[in-house]
Amino acid sequence: MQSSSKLRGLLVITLLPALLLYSFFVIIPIFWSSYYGFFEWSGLGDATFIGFQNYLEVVQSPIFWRSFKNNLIIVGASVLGQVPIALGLALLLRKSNMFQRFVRSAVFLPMVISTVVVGLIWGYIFDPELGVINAVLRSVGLESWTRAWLADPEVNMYAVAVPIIWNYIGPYLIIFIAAIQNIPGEIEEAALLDGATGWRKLVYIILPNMWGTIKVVIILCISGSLKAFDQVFVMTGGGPAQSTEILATYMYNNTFLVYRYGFGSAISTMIIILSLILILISQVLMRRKD
Amino acid sequence: MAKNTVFKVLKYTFLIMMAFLFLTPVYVIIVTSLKPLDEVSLAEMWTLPSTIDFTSYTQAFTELAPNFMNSIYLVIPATLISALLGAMNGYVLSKWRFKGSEIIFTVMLFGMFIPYQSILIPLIQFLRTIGLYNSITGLIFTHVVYGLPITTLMFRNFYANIPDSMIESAKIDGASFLSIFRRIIIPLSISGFVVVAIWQFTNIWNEFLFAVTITNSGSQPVMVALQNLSGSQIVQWNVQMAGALIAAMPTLLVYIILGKYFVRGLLAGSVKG
Repeated sequence: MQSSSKLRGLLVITLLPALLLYSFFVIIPIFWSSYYGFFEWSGLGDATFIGFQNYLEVVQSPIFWRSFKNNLIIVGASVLGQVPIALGLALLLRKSNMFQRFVRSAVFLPMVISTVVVGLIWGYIFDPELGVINAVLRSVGLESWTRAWLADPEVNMYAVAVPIIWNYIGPYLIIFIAAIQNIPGEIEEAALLDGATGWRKLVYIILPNMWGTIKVVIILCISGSLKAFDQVFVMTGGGPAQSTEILATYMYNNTFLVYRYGFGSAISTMIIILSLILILISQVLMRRKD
Repeated sequence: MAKNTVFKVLKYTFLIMMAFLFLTPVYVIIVTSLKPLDEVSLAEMWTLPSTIDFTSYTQAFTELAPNFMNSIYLVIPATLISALLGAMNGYVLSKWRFKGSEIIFTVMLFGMFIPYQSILIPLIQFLRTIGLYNSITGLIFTHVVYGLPITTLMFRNFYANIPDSMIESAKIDGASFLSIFRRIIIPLSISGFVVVAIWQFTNIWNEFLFAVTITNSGSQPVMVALQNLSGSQIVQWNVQMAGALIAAMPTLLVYIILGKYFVRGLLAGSVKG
């Protein structure tokens, strides 16, 4: 047996590299970022301290709040789109025959493809001249419904949300299928003896047993949507005229295109704050439903 | 029974529609990538190409090849290192719990919820200071660090299934912390390594935000180069779709061959957490 002090040393040595790296690159930068927010700074050269100006500018910027609203559209589309579709599919795909495995693999496929590729594909699908969607609309005589999906500010944010939903249904489907399989067989048998079948079994047995998983998925959905960047960046870059700007592209464009690192840092700090608030709110709301 | 049949018909119609919805885009990419540019038009969208034309592939390949290699140099070390660190962390956090180990674990999990764009600027500043900005090494480093929460979580859940009694008896036999790791844990966690490696490989290969901000020109991975392909004035959809397929090939192959493990990794990382 090893002496406990030596053991403690070994534990520290094993965990230390990871812990150091982690705190240095994940935890500390959050504070570092908020500190940079107090400077007028181009990323290179000297930074000038300007107090709360950047933060004030962020909070007063209508584009920032539009970006936040657009992020909320993505959150809403994900929670209301991904969760019900994934749950519905999971309930229908409980067997493991060839056909069901095939559908499962198809739904999961986008997860394996890069988000950049997904953005490109959907950019092509939404193309006003050559895209599939307008082609289908024209062929069924709905010429008037065709539009420039990614350019028209009335619809483009919803259009951008579609590939994001499409992209991430797969993993939630798999999580739900696993949760259904984890419902103890005795519970289902007992329900069957009590005559619960079909819808009643679904409402009284399956869904209540899955509520924990549904909550986890909703939280994953929200935090995932707040991270959204790639698909929007590839399809529209936040444009035209910043109509599809989301928090991440707003931060990216201000930092890396016009070199306002201080302002970008202030946006970063706001992103963290808003994300934490949203996740907190969702947890409180869901706790109440219990 | 009639009600049941109606339900079945509805169910299968819905499932077929969903499969269609997810596979059509893939069909469109493959067909488009095999066409010459003048056949990429509305009227011919669904049709198979008149002759199979690989010119868009050669064109996309010449442009993407150097970046494709960059991605290889990035993904292999980053995957191996993050898997190894994750295994060590998971080992300590599941089998050698101590006061405060749960707190450490919770703090690490917190990292999975942070939107990475919000820590990007300090990260870039740091990489600049140590001279790793705009290099593949810098990107490897970044992926190792940001892969820690998920690899630790996956290994911790995996090791939870190894009975503690096994570790206890090894301890009584005088095996030390490290020799237990080497002789018992590592041999038992080969499948865990496969799962984590596939998961990390796929995520690192596909990652975009770090890649586009930390590297430029010579050291960019393939996804950034793919995005740049579309920067030209006339959008050559056939070349872009061919490029997309080339860039997606490694992860698609991994998924086709080892898909089961990929799904297992996903479950290890999300449900039990």
